[in-house]
Amino acid sequence: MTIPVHPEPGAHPRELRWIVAPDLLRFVGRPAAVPDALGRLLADGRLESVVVEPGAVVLRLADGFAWRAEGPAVRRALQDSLARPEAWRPPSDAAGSSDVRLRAVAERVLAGEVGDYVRSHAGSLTLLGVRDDRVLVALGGSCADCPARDWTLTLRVEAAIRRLYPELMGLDVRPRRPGRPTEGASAVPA
Amino acid sequence: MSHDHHGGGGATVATGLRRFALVGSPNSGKSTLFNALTGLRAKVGNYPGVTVSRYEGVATMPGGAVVVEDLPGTYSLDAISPDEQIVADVLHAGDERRPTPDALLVTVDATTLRRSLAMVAQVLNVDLPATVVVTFGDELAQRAGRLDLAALGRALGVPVLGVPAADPRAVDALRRHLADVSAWERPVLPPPTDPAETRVWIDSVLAAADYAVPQRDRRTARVDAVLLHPLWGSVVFFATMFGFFQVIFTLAAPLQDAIEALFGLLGGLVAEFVTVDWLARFLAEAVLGGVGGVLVFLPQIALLFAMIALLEGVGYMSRAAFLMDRVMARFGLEGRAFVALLSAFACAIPGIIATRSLPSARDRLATMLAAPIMTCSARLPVYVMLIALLVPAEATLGPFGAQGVAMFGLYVAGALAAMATAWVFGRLGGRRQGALPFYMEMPPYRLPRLRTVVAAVWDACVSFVRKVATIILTTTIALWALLSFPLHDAGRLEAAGIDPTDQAAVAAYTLDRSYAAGLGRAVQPVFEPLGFDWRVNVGVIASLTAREVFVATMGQIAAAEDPEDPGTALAAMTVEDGPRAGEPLFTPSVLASLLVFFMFALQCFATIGVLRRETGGWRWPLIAFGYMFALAWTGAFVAGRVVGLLAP
Amino acid sequence: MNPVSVALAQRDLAVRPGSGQSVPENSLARLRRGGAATIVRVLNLGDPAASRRLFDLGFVPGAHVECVRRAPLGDPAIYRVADYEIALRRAQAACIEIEGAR
Repeated sequence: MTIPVHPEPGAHPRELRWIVAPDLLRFVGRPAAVPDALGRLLADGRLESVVVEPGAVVLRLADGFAWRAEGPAVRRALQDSLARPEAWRPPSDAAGSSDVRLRAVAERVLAGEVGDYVRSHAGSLTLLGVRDDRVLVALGGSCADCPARDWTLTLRVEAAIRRLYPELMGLDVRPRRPGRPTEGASAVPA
Repeated sequence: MSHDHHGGGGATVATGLRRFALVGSPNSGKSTLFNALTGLRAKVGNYPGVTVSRYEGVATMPGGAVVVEDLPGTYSLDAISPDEQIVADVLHAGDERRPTPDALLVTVDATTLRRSLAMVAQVLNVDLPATVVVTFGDELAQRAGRLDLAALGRALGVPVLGVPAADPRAVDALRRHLADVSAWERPVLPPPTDPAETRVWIDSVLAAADYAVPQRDRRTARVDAVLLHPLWGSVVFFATMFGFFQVIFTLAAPLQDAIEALFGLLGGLVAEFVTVDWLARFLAEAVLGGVGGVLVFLPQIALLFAMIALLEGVGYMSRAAFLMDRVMARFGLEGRAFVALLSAFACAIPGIIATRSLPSARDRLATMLAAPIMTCSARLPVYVMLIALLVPAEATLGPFGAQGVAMFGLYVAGALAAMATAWVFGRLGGRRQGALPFYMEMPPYRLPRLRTVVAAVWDACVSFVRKVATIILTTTIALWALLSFPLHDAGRLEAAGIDPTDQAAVAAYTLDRSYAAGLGRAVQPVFEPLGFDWRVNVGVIASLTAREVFVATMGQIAAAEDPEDPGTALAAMTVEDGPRAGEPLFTPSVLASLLVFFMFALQCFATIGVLRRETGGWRWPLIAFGYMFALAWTGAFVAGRVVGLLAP
Repeated sequence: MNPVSVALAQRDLAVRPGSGQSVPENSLARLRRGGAATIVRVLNLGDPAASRRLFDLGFVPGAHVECVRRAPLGDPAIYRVADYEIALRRAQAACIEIEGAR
C-alpha cells in the first residue's frame, strides 16, 4: 500500500512541503526518530531536516542538492517511511497531544489563505487558545458588525481547520456574536 | 468532393513569435479554447517529415501577438498512434526538425479530473513552462462537483486557470496570463512517472484540491438510455443517418438552384455584352460552364460539414461508433473507422485524416484505402447527371422517386464495396501485430459551440472554392483548348464538305478533329469494351484530376454540339466511330458502366496527394490507384454486360 | 525521442500474462450491466503498450469500475471508471481482473 503524497513548494528553495493525510502522523515538530529510509538520507547528508507540520512533512535538502535530482529517491524514502507511521517518534510526549496539534493547525490556518481572506476584508482573527478539541478565536476590525461573518467562520475557518484536524468539535468566538446565540458560541466561558 | 483542406502548404504563420502549444485529451475543450484564442484565423499545414496535420493560429495578446498551436488530442505521452507520437515529439525540446513551443497550455476537463491528472503528471515532466487550463468548471458545478483551483495550483506547482468555454472574461484573463511566461511558477519537483507513485500522487492532489466528483450527468444518462438502447438506439441511428442525407440533399436544393440561376444570369450577360466570338465561347463554356457546374455543390459541402461538426460536437459520433463497432468488427475494423468512413461521404480527405485516431496501423491503412470508395460528394454531380440520363424523372418505385432510389442504391453499394475493401486489406496487412486496445470515451452530451461548427464549415468551403479556382478551372481551360483546337481554315472546311458559315457544323467538325478527340481515340482500346466513345474517354481522362470535371467536360462537349440546349444534345449523342456508329451513345448499359466506373475509380489528385502524405510514400497511393482502376474497369464491364442483357 | 515518453514506455505495471482462458471468470468482461467491482490488475494484453494505455485511461488497481451498458449485440460495453465513461471491447475487458463484483 503506497501512501498518497504530493509535494508543494516550501518557504525555502530547498524545502518541499509533502502533503500527507492529516491523521497519519499524529504529532508536530521535528521528530525524535524517523524510519530507516528517511533516516539514511539524513545520515548521508542529503537531507538537512525533517519537520512534521499539520497535514505535511517538510523536507529540506542539504546545501548543494537539488530536488530535480534527489526528488525521486526522497519520494520513495518518504513513502516507505509513511507506510510505517508507528516508527516516527514525536520530539516529546507533548508534541503528540491533541492540544499541541490543534494549536499548530489553527495557527497555520489563521496565518494562511483563510486569514488572508479575513484581513483582505479589514477584519482580524486572533487565536486565543485551544482546549478539548475546540478552538477559541477573537474577532476584530470590521468583523464585529459584518453580516457575513458566521458564514465566513463556518465555511472557511472551521472547514479549513477540520480538514487538517478532523476531530475538531467546534469553533468558539470572543466576543460573543450579537443576537441569537449560535451553536458553540457559549461553550467556552469568555 | 476532394478538396485539399488540411492539405500541405499554407502553414505560413510568422516565426519569431512566442509559441504556445495546447495539450490535452480529446473532448477536453482544447479546440474550443484554440478557436477562442485565435478566432477563425487558423492556418493548417502539416508537420515536416510526418503525416499529421498541424493547426496553428496567431492570437493577439496584451503584450503583442503569439502563435498558438493546437496539438492532436491525446490521453498519454506514451504514444500508441501517429498523432499521439507527434505530441510527444513536439514537446521534446531537443528536436530540431520542428519549433519547440515556448510554453504549454494543458487543457483539463474538470469533470474527468482524476483521469486527466495522469496526463498532467506526464506533461509536467516535460521541461517547459506550463499552465493548466481547467475547462467545464461550470458543468462540474452544475453536477454538484467541487474543485478549489487555487489549491490545485499549489498542489501541481504550476498556474491553474479556470476557463469555461463560453466565458470571454476568462479567455481575456488567460490572454493576460500568456503575456508573461517568465512569471509562471514551475514545479520544484515534477510528478512521478512510476505507475504506483502516480496513482497516489493523483489521490493526494485531488484531496488537496478539495475535489468532489461530479454526479453522473443525468441528462446524458437519460438520453443514452434511448440512444444506446438495443432496439431504439438502432432505430434512432438509422433515422439519424437517413436525416443526415435528407438534409444534405433536400435543404441544399434551393441554394443550388440559386447558384445555377446566378451562373445563368452571368451566362446571359456574357452572351449579351461579349462580342468577340471566341472570348464569349471561352467565358461561357470554359469558365462559367466548368466552374459553375462544380460550384453548384458548395451548399451540399457546407451542409455536410455542418452536420458532421454538429454530430461530433454534440457527442453523438462516439455513440454512433459505439453502436456500429460490432458491425465494423465483422469487417475487421473498429467503431471509430465508421466515423472516418462516414466523413468520407463528404470527401475522402477528411475520412483519410480521421483515421489518425485509429491506434492500429493495420486498421488505419485498411480504412484509408477504403475511404476513397465511399460515395464522396464529388461523385454526386456525376451520379446526378448519369441517373438523369438513365432513369426518367417521373418514374417511381412505390412511394419513392426512382431517381432517388437509384442514388440511394449507389450510396449503399459504395459503402458495401468500401467495407469489403477494408476487410480485404485488413486481411492482407494482417500479420497479427499485437492487437492495440479499442477504447472510446463517451463524453457527456454537450451543446456544440457555434464557433467550432462555423470553423469546420468555413474551412471546408474555402478549400473547395480554392480547388474550384485552381485545379478545376485549370483543367477546364486546358480541356476547352484541347477541344477547340486546332482551328481549320475555310478552304479546309470546304474541302471536307462543310459550309464555313454554318457555325454548328464548323464547331462539330472542329470538335471531332480536336486534340482532345485524338487523345480520346488513342485510349479507345482500353474503354471500348465498356462501350465508351472518345468523348466519354476525354471526360474520364479529364476527371482523373477531380471527378466533377467529368460533368464540366461533357457539358462543354454538349454545348459545342448544341449551344442552345446542351442537355438534350447530351441525351441525343450518338456513337461516332466503330461498329456502333450512329447508335445512341448513352444506352442503359453504357450508363451503368459509367456509374460503376465512377463508383470505384480513384479520380482525384487531392486524395492521391493526401494518401501519399498520410502513408509517407508513393507506394500506397499507387496501389490504391491501381486496385481501384482494376475494380472500376472490371465492375463497369460486368455491369454493362448485365444491364445489356436486362435492358437491351 | 522525447525522454518523458521513453521513461513512460519503460513503466512496469507488473502485469501478468492472461490465463489462456478466453474470458476469465473474474474479468471485467463478465461484469453484468449495472454491476460494480474493484480492479485488481491488468493482465497482459499481448502488447505492454496496450496495458499501459488502459492504466493511463484510469483502469488502475484499486479503482472502482461499473458496467453502465452494453451495445445491442453485447459488445462493446460502456464502463464507468475514474469518474468518466469509456467503451471497451470484450477482448480488452477480458484482460482486466476484478474482485468484489456485485
